[in-house]
Amino acid sequence: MVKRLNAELWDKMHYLFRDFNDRMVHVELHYDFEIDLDVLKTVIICMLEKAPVLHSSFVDNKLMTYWRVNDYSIDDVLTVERPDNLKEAIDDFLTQYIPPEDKLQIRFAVFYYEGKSVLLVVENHMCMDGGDLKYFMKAFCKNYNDYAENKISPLELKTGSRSYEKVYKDFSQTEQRMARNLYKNVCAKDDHKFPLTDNDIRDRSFIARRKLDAECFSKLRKAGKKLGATVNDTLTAAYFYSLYELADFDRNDSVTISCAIDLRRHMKDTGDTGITNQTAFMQCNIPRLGDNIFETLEYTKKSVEKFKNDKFMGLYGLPLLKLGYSIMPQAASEQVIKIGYSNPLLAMSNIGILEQDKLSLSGHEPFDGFMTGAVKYKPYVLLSATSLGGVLTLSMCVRGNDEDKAIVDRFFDLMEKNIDEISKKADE
Amino acid sequence: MSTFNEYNDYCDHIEKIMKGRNEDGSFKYKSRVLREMELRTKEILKRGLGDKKVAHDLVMDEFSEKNVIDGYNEFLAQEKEKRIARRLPVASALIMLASVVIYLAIGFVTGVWHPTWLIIEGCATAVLINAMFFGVTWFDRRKRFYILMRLIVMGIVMVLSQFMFLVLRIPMHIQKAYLIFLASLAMMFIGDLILATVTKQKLLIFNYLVTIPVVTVFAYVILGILHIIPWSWGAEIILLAVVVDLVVLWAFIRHNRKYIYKPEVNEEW
Repeated sequence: MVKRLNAELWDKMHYLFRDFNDRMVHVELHYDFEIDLDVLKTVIICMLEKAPVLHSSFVDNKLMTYWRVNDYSIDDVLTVERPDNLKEAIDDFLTQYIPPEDKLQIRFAVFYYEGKSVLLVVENHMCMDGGDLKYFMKAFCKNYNDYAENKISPLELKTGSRSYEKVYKDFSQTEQRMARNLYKNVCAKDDHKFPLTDNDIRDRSFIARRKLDAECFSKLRKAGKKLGATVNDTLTAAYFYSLYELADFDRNDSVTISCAIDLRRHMKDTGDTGITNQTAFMQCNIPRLGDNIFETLEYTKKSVEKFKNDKFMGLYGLPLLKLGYSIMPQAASEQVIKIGYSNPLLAMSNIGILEQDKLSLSGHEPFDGFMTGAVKYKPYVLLSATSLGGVLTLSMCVRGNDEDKAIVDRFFDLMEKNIDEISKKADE
Repeated sequence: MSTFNEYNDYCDHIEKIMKGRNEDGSFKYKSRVLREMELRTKEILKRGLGDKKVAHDLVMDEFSEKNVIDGYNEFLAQEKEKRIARRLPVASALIMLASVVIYLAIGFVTGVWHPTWLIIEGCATAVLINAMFFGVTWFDRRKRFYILMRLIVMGIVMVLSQFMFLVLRIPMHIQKAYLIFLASLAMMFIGDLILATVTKQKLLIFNYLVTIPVVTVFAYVILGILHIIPWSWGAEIILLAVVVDLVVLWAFIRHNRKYIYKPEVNEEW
């Protein structure tokens, strides 16, 4: 019998985002040993069995949507190679696109090189967001270690409802009613965009990255503390400052960057939920550039503070989306939601720390790696930030050409320059 | 003998969980769970899993006590529904047969053939409404096809009103029995409102706001035709409906006001 799973609100929303990005989330982790393939296969199968949405295809029959659970074999999920050109193999794997109709929504790869391994994961954002993918990777590594070292069956993965409504579960009755009444359209309304070239059918997906070494990132954190700012604030301020310079925006223009926020902040325990999406955006807005990066940082802090003081941060608009998808057939609700929805042109996702100890395999911590969001279609961009072992990785996934690569590279130069500028405060 | 007879502890696992649950059908359920566990093990091994113990543990985890008990409660509910669905046609046929026998018996004994045929009509109405009501509960349990549930409720009102019309018109000789059809239109809205309330629909307030004026207008027309109220009251009646609507809306807003949260984020630079 064909098994079906509910298509949850965020699944449908990310499906709707198909016009703006490829919906893939990417992970790259390097280990200084050769990963045991038999153990890896066992762990992958167990984790996929525990999360059937990962081996399902998304069905949209215009009236309704759902996930159809599919059969698969481990060879469909896992690619193992010893590539001649490692960088090219990694990029090729990471920039692949998994259609929602595909029988699998996740792919793993292990590339061996010089006695080391690189573990790559690509998954459909419709199944889970960066927050749960981070959890998934930690559970994956724990399962690998338990099985490799003690032959404990790799069953660690939370299961349960994937519904967005779980976000309300730890509110009081009154707060729940309040949160469920937040019928508000909270879309970005800023026309400022990243100065990429126009769309071209020859455009190809690429992942641009820039690493900031541990010393530099440590200085940034120290400077942030002195200035009363979080890492997120400092990165956002640097993003703003670099962008004005790169795109030549008028200094007096007000610009908005949408920053991803993890809605799990509203939940005390996420152990009883399945892997899913619980991410919204806050619109971080500055009134003008500011005379220097520190003034821009102050504007950023003030904007973020306003959101942080809101106890229903990120929950606006959810009831409206739910209503839209409930009262109309899928095709009609998509059209109606598209009218009211405007995708942010500039976005940032601070995925945060990738804990080396929790991502270790057989006692080997990953010595390099990062996570990044979806490949955005021009003119939309998303800057992702992750840190591993104190090294900060900034990344931007774009479908573009060599000229776009150069533009993103120039942007990273400016980011580095402005981060350095902020970091100088650490020494003062 | 099953292919995975090394997993005999599946039986122990099921028996342990189901201990003390001896309702009718528990054996059937336990057998079904065992079969599902065995098939699931085969399925997982086919994915390319080399370690049978892991497959076994994975299946045991999937068929945890909570899942098996939840499944059992659902199974019992389904069985009950199936029993009703099986009995419904038989019971309906028996009722219809009995109504025909009663009608014929009265006819042959008393020589009265009219309007005793309403017994058959009444029984047919009851059978039909029962089946439709079963349909509504079937959809409601699955929380699906609300639109069909609404149509069925409207159907129930229509079926009932045609019988009422016949009863009022034929044995009771009420000339204006046709008004029952006007009343049934209002009843459809009331039925829809009751359905929305029982199934806890989100936009219930709109049902109220629509139902109140519609029912008032129908009541006005019916009472006007029956000369219970003068036709000249039309404007006042409609005004009354609007006032009641506004009161309901005000009460709704007042009730919800305490749940309105004013964000602090709106201020512009």
